[in-house]
Amino acid sequence: MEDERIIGLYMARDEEAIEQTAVKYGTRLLEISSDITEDRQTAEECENDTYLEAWNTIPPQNPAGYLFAYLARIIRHLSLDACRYRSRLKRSAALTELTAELEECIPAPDDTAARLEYRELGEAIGRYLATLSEEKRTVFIRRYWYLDPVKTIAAQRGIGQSKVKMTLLRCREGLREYLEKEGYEL
Amino acid sequence: MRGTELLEAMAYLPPEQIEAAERRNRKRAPFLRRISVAAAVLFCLTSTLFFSAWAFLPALNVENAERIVLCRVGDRLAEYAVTDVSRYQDWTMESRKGESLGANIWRIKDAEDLVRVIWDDGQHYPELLRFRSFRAFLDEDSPLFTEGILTEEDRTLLRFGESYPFGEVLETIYGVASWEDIRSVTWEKADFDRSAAGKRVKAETCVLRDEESLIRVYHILKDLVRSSGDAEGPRRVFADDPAYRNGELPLSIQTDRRVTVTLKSGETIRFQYAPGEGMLYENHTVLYDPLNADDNRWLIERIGIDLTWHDWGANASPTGETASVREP
Repeated sequence: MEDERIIGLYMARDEEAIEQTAVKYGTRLLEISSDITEDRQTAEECENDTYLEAWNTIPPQNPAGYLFAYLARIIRHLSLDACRYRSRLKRSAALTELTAELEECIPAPDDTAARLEYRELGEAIGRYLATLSEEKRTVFIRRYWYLDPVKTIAAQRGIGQSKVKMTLLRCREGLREYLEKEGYEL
Repeated sequence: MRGTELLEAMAYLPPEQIEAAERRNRKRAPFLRRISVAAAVLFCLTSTLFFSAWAFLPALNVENAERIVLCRVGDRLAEYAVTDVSRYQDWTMESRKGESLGANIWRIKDAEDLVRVIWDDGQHYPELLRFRSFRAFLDEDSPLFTEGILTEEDRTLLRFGESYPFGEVLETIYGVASWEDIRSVTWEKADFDRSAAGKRVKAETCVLRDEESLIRVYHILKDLVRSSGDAEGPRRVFADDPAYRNGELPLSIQTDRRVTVTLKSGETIRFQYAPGEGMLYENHTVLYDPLNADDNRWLIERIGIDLTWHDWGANASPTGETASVREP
């Protein structure tokens, strides 16, 4: 079913919307959550919570043209929360690794008083990513949005792990410079 | 700010970037594996193609090429020629045998016509035969009689020495009982003249499918009568013919047509058409009496045959190869 029709069902408060969403995007959403939580049961809970969240937010939200991204953002958020609050040891280690990588992008120590709104920062990162080649952008997003392991990205892209790591390193350095130029005083 | 917060901020990336990364997340196999897969696919395709051609394309039966088998169909002596068969047909020939039509001849199972039959004497491999014509003119001193191939009973049952209407062939052999059994009739440039001038000639292909035309053509075919034994085929005018060089007659390749009658059963019947003489004929051994003037005129107009003289290189000596006409 087309995204427009699924959103139409949400707007009409028709529960068929959830079923159609699950049919169309269920597998991909479950995959995102499984990659983050590394736990099938937790991932399934996150998937169900995603449908509930979508049901509660559409309307007033109307993600016409980006329904998958909208749902993916919700399940990513829920999956990260699940990792944090349910103390999944293994995944916590992975998250620590990820956040350590990302801290390289932050121009200033974390004791800065000023705190940016996530949304504003996210948009700035998006602008930076738009300047990259599609290949680099995909690698970056797969790593820090979908939280795919380096090994998985390398296999999916058909390139070596060292190349993925090098690409990520350069992107992080570039992002750090970009944020500084944009005047972010973090 | 900590890395975790930056991770949170990533959630607000533009949706189109998220979607694009998802779409591009196609797993790409390593180069060697991709090459191996491509090679394997190519190998499979080539093998399939080769095997299909090997098994299903008719293979030339050199040993028995042009071998003629005579068999009785009703009170006629029919001439069948050994035809090429694919290996698949060869393997399944035994199971395709239907009703027996007499000594060593079998109808194809479930076939309603007699265009193809199976010959099997029990000592050699079965062969597929295709109908050529009724043997209308057989001398009494033919080896068929003198060597005892045809029995005395055959001699009394078979009709010889008389011409026959093609309508009999249409009905008995091809199972065509009315014009509705014909799908189409195609008139296209013949292929007997491969000289330089012949190649330059343009002749439009005409396909008749409409009811009125099919009815008319059906009756023309049905009324064809096989010519007597000493009849001659139509004259063929090539570029080196004085009649053409002097502008008296057009090239035969310009006026003549190859005719393909396609039946609804899938079978085809082939003729040559010479509008100058008003003759439809199968080859120079199977000729039919000229059409009546009305039918011939109708055909010329309907097919759009140009009978006027054109210079296709009249004064140039033919440089190409000219196909020889099969001798009776």
